[in-house]
Amino acid sequence: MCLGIPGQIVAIVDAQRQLATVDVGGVWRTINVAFIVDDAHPVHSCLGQWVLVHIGFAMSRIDAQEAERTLALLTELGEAQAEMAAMGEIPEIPEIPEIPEIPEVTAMAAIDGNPATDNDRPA
Amino acid sequence: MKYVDEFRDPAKARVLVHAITRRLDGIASRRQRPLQIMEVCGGHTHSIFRYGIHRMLPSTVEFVHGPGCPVCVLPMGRVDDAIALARQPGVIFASFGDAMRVPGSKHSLLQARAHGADVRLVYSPLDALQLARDNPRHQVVFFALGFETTIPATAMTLMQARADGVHNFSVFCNHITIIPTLRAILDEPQLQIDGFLGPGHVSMVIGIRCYDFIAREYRRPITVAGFEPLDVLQALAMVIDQIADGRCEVENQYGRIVPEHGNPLALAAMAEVFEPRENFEWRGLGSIAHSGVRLRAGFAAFDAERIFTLAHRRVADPGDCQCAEVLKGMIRPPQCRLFGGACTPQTPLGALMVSSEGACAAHFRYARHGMALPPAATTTSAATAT
Repeated sequence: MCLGIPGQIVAIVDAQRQLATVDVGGVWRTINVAFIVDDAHPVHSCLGQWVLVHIGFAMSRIDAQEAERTLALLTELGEAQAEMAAMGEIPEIPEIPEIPEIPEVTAMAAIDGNPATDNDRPA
Repeated sequence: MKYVDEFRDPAKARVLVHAITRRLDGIASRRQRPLQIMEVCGGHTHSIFRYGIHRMLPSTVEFVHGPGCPVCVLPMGRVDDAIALARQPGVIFASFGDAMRVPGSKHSLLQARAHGADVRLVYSPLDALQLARDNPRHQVVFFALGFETTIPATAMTLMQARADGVHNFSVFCNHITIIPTLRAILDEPQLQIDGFLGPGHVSMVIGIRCYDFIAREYRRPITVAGFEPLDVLQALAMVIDQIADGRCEVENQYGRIVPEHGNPLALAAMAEVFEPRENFEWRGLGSIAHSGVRLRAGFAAFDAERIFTLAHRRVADPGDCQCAEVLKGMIRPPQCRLFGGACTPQTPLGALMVSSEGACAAHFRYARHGMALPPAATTTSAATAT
């Protein structure tokens, strides 16, 4: 229900009604950007912006630096583990089951963030 | 896909599992039982089962599945009211897909539609408003469900309806809020939860400071988490670090989406349109004070509960149904008497078997036979969440 998905704003459809086009994995859809627009961030500042899309609304501007920071921390942790393992301080990093490949998403479900699956969908 | 694929990197997941395992080994001598970590949000429940995260971890940590699945906690009486609304002559009833199969006392919305009710599936409340514009002779009722992630969207839609004078649009409001619910869970004497994964997308709206009471009053750590496998694992590592260090803090793993103070515009829209109810009934958890919202008087003309007369009947869950125990983390889904027999995703008796975010449905789909993957044809959603 609270499902959301990242997308990039590629066009402003109607600045007054605060509507924009978002690209989610190659699928385009009109969404409402009222919740990420204010005096300091006018509608046109949304162009090119990555946002989190939830049921037809952009709910958050994605902070690219924060995303990088999160991943960089994990890279550092991995390097530290490898180093300690090489020094014999900790055991080798064990194998874990692979994270399964996820089947291709249905574009509408992906964009709209509707978690309804299989039988929930109308024919 | 950017901001998705890089958070599914198996090599980094391995590093995190290793770090978690070492940290757990370090505190094993101090503990009598496995750590119990509650993932509040149904989106996390879905991710955990879908990616098999629980099977990557040592047995010294267990996930307890929280109440953050709005469809799962919707009481039967409200479903009956929704069906009654859908059956009114001249009504088009607009609902999200995952509410369609939730059983009421006699039928689901899907069955009501098969019997002739005009029930339409929508992806956004704005689509429901458009239905009203396109069908001026009908009353379009939107079945509003969800936590704070979803409430602002309903609020904005209602503000548009009022501004544009769309008078044949109304909302059957079943929105709920997370904080009173967390408090109710923390007050449960039988509960043995050591820490929380906080709901990522609810927090993107309400911020993370709302959880301070969990750390201060209840002395439990909480880390707000994203929904990709690395997000869940990293947040879990952060909670376990807190426990190992004896800290109880509110941390944010999902900084790329969740600002500390949430989304002020979304909060303002919510506050303008909605006000707290004295009480709201939850399936399995009973009545929780101030856990639901209703439309303010200024939006009375758009409130289906004021426009129509509803039965508001309270309906007890089926006798054998153990959704309540599962919701409170007292039993695991397969321990329910009905799990996988009388109650399956095809013929759900309890709501936890209905939504893909429900603990039982997630367990049934992905974990029942120890399978890593769901059948490819049946899975459609990409990134889940609350």
